[in-house]
Amino acid sequence: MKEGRLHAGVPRTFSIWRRLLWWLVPTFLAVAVVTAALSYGTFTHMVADFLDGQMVQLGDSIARYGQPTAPSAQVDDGAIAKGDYVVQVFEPDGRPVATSWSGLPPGQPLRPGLHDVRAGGRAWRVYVAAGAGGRTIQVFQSSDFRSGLAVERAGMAAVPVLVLVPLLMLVMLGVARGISRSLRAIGQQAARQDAHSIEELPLAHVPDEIRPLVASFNDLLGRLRDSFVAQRRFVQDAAHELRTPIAAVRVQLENLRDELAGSAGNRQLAQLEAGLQRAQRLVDQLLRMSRQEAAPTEPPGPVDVEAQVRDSIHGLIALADRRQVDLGLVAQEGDEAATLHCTPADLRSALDNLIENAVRYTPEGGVVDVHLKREDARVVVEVVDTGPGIPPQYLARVFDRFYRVPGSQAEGSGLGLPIAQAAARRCGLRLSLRNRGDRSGLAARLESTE
Amino acid sequence: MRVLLVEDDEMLGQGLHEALSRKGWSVDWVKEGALALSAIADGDYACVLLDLGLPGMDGIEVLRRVRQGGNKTPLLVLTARDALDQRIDGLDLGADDYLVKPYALSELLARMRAVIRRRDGAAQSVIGEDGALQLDLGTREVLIQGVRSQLSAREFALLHALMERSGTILSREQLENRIYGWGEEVGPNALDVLIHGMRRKLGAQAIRNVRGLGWRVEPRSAGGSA
Repeated sequence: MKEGRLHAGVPRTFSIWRRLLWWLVPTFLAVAVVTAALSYGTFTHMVADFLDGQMVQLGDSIARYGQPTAPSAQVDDGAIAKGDYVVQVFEPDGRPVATSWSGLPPGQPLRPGLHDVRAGGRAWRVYVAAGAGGRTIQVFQSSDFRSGLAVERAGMAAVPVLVLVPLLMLVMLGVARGISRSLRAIGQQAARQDAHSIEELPLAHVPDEIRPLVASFNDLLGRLRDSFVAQRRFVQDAAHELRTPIAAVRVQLENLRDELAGSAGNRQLAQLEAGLQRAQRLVDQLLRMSRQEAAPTEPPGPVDVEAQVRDSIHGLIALADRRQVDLGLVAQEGDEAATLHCTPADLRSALDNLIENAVRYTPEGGVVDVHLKREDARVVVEVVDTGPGIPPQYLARVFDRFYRVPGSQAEGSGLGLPIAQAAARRCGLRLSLRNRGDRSGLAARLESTE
Repeated sequence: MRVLLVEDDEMLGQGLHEALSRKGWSVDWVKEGALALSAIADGDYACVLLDLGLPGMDGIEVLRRVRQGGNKTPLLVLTARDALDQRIDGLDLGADDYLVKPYALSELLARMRAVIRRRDGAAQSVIGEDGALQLDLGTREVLIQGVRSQLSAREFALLHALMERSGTILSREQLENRIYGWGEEVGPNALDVLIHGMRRKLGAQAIRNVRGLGWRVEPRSAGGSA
């Protein structure tokens, strides 16, 4: 999984969306609460003034125009809760004449004016007016209704803010997704970089806020590329420079061999020459490796595997002859041509290193078979030798650069297999090693992964 | 024969000087490009061995000036660099051959002989290296360590195919196409019989079989020394 790789090893502790929610949602809720509180305060007064006005008008009009002694409209419990008035009329001596609701039994008449009282298990707002003929008119309204009205109004003021919260979450989710998409795109481009082709990340679809990060990342990539180039150049220069002293030692050794012809030092001379061969091979492999790390010089295309195997054997048959190793090709008859999509140089490099390795580690008189076959749709090349093989505990390590299996005799550089592996990977081939089951020997297997 | 050695490395120059002298060459050794130019202009060398990595004027520049001046002395480039472009540079500018360090002395001597022979313009009818298996295209004879012997037409065709580019592996099909004419009936064992016969004549190791691919003649196959 590509995405998985981006997050690998980084605990998920930080999400822009979550952080936005964390701060914005409580803020909005606080705003809603404050709005409601303020509205409540304001509306309590507005409602009180307005309703008091109405009560005064009603009470005064009853007092002035001599309303019927018993109010005709009877009210009930539900109507009271909805704000209906209760009117009570008293005689000048304080005897009740009429009440519009039996649920509120008439007590002693109050002094004229506005009062808050409790009666009949409820809180009331009451207006007392002095009527014609010494009568007293009392108009009641439920205090619960009045405060309920204020709460309702205050609630209505907070609703828009509360409605905004889920909308806001949706919008922020969308924005955060957009941002993380572009970040992920940048991340994927960064993940595609390798030592061969380090390219700067494009700034085209990068949010302004992330731009400095990408710009400094690009700066870092640039320096990384420079240092890769410098390192490759150093390895190449060093390897080239080493060739001259090796050449000098080699010429002097040959002179010495002429000088000592037939005398006792021959065994030591041979040892010296073998050591020199090894140094030379190491230098050559270093050069190959650093070239391999440079950008490929030719574009990949269809490559005939058998032709490359033939060329590779052709190039190494002289070495095999010198070491008296029987190197040969074993191809299945009648197979259609196997092709791979890669650069010929990479395939050759993988084959050369595997076959050369096999030839070098196979003792005199041994056999190296290069099998070319198809298994289902896969192309398989197997290089099988009759050498000592590799002890199982070292099989995993032989792909490390400069690693040599302890006690191995051949003049290996420790770079052949790493080079082969890198080249194989670029050809879309998987390289695996196993020891032969039928006898001692190593089988190196290249197979296409598609 | 006189050879000019242009090499700035003290140890390598000294070693080569000693080795070439031992092989009968008369060696002049210079360590700078400018000195090399004047030496080549003055002297009559059979061959120049030119190192490319010289201080001051580098080998490529020396080569360019030598060839611009119309001097055709055979010139062998010795280089520590084997980057492809540098080879082509050198050969384009008129080097006769190049050798990548470190090289075996025998290889150097063989290449020197080869460039001198080529420059002499002697009609090269003999292919193969001195002391190894050689084929005279004019007389259709094989030379085994200098000793000539006759070949049949098919034997010659076989050896010619294998030695044209020595070291090349030729498949059964390629060899049969070269040896036998169109429409000629070729028995399944004809080629094997022919090669068997040649091995008896030239030595068992002269024509080597490469399993699964074909046959080849090694460039420096001594021939005869089975």
